[in-house]
Amino acid sequence: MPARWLSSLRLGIRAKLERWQRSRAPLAKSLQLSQRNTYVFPTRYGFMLLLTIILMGIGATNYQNNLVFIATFTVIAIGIVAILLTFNNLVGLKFSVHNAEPVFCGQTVRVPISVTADKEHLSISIGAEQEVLHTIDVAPMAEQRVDVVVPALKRGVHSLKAVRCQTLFPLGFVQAWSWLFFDSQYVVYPKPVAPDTEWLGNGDSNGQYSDSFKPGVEEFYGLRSYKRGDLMSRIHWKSFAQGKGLQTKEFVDYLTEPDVFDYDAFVGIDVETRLSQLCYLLLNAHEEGNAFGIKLPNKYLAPDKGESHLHNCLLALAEFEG
Amino acid sequence: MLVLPENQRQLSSNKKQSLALVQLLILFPLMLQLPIILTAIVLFAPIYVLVRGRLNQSMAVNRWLLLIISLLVAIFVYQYYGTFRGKDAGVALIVCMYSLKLLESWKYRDFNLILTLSFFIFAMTFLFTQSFWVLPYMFLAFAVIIYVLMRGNAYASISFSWKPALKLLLLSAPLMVLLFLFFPRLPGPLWKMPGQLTSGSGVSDTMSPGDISTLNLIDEPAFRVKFTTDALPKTSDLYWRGLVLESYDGITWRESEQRSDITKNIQTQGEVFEYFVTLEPTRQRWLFGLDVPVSLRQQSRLKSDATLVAPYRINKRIRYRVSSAPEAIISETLTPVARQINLELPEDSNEQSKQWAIEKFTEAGSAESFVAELLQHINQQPYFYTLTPPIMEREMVDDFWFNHKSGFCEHYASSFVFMLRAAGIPARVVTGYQGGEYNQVGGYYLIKQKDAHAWAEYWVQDKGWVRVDPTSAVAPSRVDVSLQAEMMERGFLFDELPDAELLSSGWLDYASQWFDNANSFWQEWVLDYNQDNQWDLLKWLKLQSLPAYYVNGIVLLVVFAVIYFLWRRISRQHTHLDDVAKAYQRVLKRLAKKGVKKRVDEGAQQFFSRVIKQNPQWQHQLSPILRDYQTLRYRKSAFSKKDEVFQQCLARLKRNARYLQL
Repeated sequence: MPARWLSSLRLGIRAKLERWQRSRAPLAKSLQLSQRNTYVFPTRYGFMLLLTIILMGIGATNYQNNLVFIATFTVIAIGIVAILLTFNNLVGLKFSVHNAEPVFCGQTVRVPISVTADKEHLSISIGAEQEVLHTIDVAPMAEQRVDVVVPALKRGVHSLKAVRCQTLFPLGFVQAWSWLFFDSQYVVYPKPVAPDTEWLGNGDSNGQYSDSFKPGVEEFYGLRSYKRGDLMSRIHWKSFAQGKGLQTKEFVDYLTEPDVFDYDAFVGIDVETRLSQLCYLLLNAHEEGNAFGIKLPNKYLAPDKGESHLHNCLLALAEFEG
Repeated sequence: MLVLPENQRQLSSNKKQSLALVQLLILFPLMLQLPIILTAIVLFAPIYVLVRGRLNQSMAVNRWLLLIISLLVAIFVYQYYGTFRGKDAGVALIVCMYSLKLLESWKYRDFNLILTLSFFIFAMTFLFTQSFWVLPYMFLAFAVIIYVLMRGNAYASISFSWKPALKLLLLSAPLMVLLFLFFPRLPGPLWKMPGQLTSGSGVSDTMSPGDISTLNLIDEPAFRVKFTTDALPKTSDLYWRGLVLESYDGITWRESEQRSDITKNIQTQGEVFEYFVTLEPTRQRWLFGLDVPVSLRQQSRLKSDATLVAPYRINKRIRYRVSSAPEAIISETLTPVARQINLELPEDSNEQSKQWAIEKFTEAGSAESFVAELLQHINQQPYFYTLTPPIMEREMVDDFWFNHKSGFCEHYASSFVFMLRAAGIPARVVTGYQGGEYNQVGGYYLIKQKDAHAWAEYWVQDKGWVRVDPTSAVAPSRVDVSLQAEMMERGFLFDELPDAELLSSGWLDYASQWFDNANSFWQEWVLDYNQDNQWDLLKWLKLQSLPAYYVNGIVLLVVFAVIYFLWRRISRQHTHLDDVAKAYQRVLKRLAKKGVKKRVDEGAQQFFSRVIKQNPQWQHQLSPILRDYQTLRYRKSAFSKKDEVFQQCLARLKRNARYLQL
């Protein structure tokens, strides 16, 4: 019972401390732990040590045995030095956050954090509050990377919540910890879900894209009068022979009609599923190397290709508020 | 590295073996104190774990089996001691359970529990032995505990050195000393423990020389004396007064129950010596002082017969301060009661001696010449000094004086006083110690149990009580051969002995003196440090006049100051950087001052090119630095440190870094 009471007390204090620190911590890309934002509290082994010390003190007093007193005071001194060392094992660490790769809903986000220090720090555990902590040793003047793992439960652009950084080293009797509040966002795309019905193109095309083409190399399109700089190989010698002057052959690439995925095309399906299905289609189109665009009630992204376009489209889905 | 929450972590076989080793280390000094069978029980668990671990076998023990073993051990301890109460049984039980705990240690939790308990277990050793060697052993053991704890808490597999553990212990040393000196203590004991020891000592409150057939010389310290005055008393004055025995029933000398003269009647004259006496426990109330003690500090009392009495029995080593004046006069005048007590002899016994004494006295005429006559008699006649005298139960004085003529100081003192009393001179026996070994290292006298002595005092008008030592009159040639060495130590006692001075300090003597000095320091300042000493220390620091809470406040302040300095020391200890890194850091600092900071994700090359792009005017200063730095850092393998090129390069980098002008 007292253990439970103690741990609830500890959790209470921690929650208060976290709120307090959050309220006065500036959000930044990189930050350093100092005496002012690092906390220590005994672990249960620390309380056990305290109990041991009390027992030893009682024994020493009862037998008036100075050597037992020396042993007791040595253990007390070890405890105090352990507090200082544990505290010091955290203070001075420098952290900077890097951008996390976007993930799909249901995966885990990995926010890379680099840790540096002027001196050796051993057994530093870092992780998102209430998530799994990773433990690293930080060597002086060297950079250590550690990923803060956060489960991606909801699509959207999220700010990184408190990152917890703690250590029990060297003796495990006290824990020193701090919260790192980074100015960092990560993107969670909707989870891709295959639509029940196949996407059949844009249906009633508004004609804007029919017969669309662009100058290219694939198919002969026609002739035009020669301009300086045209390639010799492109000159239509036949018409020159016919005395029609210098004509240049023109080629075009015909575009397959690019898909523009329309949010409104999914009738009778709830928002999240729609977004998931759109996500699936986008990924599919990207994989096949097609150009694609997206149309949302409040946003339109013209068809294009490439990774960054895909990201923009998926980001639009992630940010969608409907 | 991903680490499980600590409550899920299991103990590896290696960790468990290291626990077993810690247990063996911790229990070793205790095992020397335990009965052999318990030692065997205690050894079982750690050795089992070590052997199984060595063979790579599982260390698992059935939980029920373990429970049964524990119960059996508890029952055994109860059988052995007949109780669980008291020091011995309690310690035995705790130690057994501590060692058995190892068999059911599976988790990280148990690991920490056992190591934390180890501190406690080791402290119990001191209840049994307080020898000097146990303390350094304790620090060694604690260093090992800390080392194992550190390894247990360092998750990543790094090569772990002993240094951090030793450093932690060293850092805690000043705090420990401070706490030891100043931490307020309660007077003990908090509760009474059964079975405290009592034992006798060299001087007892009665003396019946006729009963003793063998006197064992006990080579243990009785007390130590350190003079605060520069001058030391003459060797022939080294009589340490203990008890005055005035009542004699024919067999036993006792302290007189009649307190005859209570008024202070000691006249100080001549040189006065001041000194501290550190007395070993005697379980008695009397104290010892150099003949004649004239004043005494503390609560103890100086009695009219110039003996010292403590207010309570001396059950532990104490220290007190006395002044003595060897030429002081005790009882210039004698009250009629005192005179009567000191003339009393049992009737109808030792008639021959009485007759003899009266004859001799009338021949001599005065008390002083009678005493001289008696000493002459002892010296000239075949009187022997021996520690194995025949038993003289009846008519002890007659038997000794006329028949056996051999005995030790008690026989001589006793008979001598008898003769004086028979002749009508007030006389009494004084017991105490005589002589003492001067320790040149510590500058004190060590008086041992074997220096116990008895001598006589007789009263003369105007001179008071005069000391006379009949034993010293025995001719040196008639001292028992087995006592020759002993005699030499006593130095002057049989002072015609020629070799006495030749036997001075050889290196062995010096070593033993040094050892006794260390031992006395150990006893005085470590084992016997108590509330009184604490108070003395405060007095010495001139803090005694302050109210207690101020003192506590100051002590707390000092403790916190020490903690603060420790903290500063700890946080300043940067890991050692080599010369290259130091020079590089110096440059970075200089640049940072100018507002150009290196980002974490930048390498040296990147950073310098950025700086130079922004501040082209620095190029000719910075590029040689960068070049040298890169050469030293990344082409280090190209040449050794002793290489001339390397040295030049390093020297240039250091110079450039130091004299960098921006």
